[in-house]
Amino acid sequence: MSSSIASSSSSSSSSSKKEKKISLKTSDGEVFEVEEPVAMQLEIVRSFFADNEDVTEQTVMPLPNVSTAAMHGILEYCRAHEEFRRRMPEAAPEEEVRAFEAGYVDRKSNEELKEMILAANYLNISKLLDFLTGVAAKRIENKSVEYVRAFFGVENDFTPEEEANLRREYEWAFEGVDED
Amino acid sequence: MEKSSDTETNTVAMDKSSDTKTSLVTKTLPPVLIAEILARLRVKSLCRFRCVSKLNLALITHPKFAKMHIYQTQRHGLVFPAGSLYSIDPEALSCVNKLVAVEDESLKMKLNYQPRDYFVSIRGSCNGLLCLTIGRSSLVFYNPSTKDCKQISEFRPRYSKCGLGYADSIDDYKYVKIYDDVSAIWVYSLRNDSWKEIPNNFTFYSSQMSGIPLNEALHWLVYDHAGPNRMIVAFDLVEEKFKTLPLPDIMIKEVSHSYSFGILGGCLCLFTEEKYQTLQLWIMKEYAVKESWTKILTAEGHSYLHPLCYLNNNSKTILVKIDFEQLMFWDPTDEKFKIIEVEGIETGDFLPRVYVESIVSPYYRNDIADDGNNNSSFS
Repeated sequence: MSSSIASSSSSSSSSSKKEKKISLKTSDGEVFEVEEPVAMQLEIVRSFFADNEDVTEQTVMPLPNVSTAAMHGILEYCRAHEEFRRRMPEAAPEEEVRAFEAGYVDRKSNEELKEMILAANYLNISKLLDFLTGVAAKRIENKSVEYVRAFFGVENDFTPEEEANLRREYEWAFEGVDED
Repeated sequence: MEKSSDTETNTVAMDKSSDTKTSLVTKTLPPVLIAEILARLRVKSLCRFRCVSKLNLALITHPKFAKMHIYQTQRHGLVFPAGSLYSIDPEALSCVNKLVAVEDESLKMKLNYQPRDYFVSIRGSCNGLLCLTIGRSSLVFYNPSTKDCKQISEFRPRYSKCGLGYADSIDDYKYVKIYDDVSAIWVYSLRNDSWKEIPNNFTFYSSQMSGIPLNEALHWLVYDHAGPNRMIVAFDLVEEKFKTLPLPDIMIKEVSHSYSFGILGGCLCLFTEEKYQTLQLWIMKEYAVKESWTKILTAEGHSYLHPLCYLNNNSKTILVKIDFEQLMFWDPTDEKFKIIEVEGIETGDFLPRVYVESIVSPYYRNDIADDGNNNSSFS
């Protein structure tokens, strides 16, 4: 559904006037041609073009910290939001935005979600970062310690004794935890 | 940056190993992003996730994290001093019709109180910390979300006004006791864990006992029916001096038969009421600016309302308590107050206190406040 929004936006705008595109190159070498207002949601891109006078339309901006997979996810979100903004410049249609966002993250695995968080942080898209960290929090809320270690990919670096002491301080917090 | 790429191109083998490293690194979030995720969790989860790793423990127990967490979550709880301490989760209203009051047993157990001495009064609430008096001789700083508590001995308990507030610029929580019959104010600093006496000759009348904490000060509404001395008195927690703030004109010119003073969404607010009929809710949008007092609500047929908090992070749904009666909330969809049913206690008899869910500890931690290593995660 969301991809149809994105494609309809680009086709409708290209029919009205030729849209300026910005070329972004991901870590694995793929070049994305992105509509200017969408690319400008990426703060790192906006400041790159604002600060460098000698860049032209032909300049390909390298983004070495973003994979092609993450870039697809990022652009899907930014295109949908650009479409919302175009339709309702004053206030985004709240229900629709929520429905899009829910469907958007449902399909993403924990690993994909983390990769998107890293990309959104690097590209400096504060709205998306805020949204994605909120999604990550919902995924670990009320889960077990072991689940959260697996989620973040961290090892338990406490001794069994240290961990037992920490658990004892807030024993009540270990009751009624959701299954993994 | 260019330097590092130079050294990498020197050896092909090095390049390869750093490549595999980056692909691994992309799966591991840096501490600053882990903190961003943790800051959106409820306190119960945070108390549990201290065990995840040493890094998690360091992030969660850092004082700057507690502030970041309050800012991100803004989740309110309600406590009733009904003999013992009872808590209610008003944010659950979005999914249930009835709220259940639960007695807070852990406080009684931790402090080892006998039932006959145990009578809780709430003296202040700030950033998730409550200041309570229990029985005659003890003052307790208690966080109902983490259940952490700190007991100190009370002295000269017969004060007329008090309050708990936070001063960000000196990173300290202060509990203030004001007396009518003594020219002195007593201030307890949580950071220094000590009391201090401040000479004071300023007296004022207010029916409100606990000062409302905001902007490094505690606030009381001064209201007399004669008129000329109506204002807000504030005790500055950094300078430890009194100052005054302006009221809206309606409070100066007209006689309101009831009024109540509080805080909503970080702004001082006032309920005013004329001739048992028209109720108005005003908020001071910009601190200490008279012109910023704005009327946000008008309703008919209600009296003696106390503002409590906004519900579910929505500045239109407002939780209130009627004197000696029920809890209600303002439903913006049809612009009416609706009664909230509460099971477990008679809510009518007690004025509840709002607290924000937080992991602020009643034990001030000097040891990590200046740790440069961890500070970088909270820039």
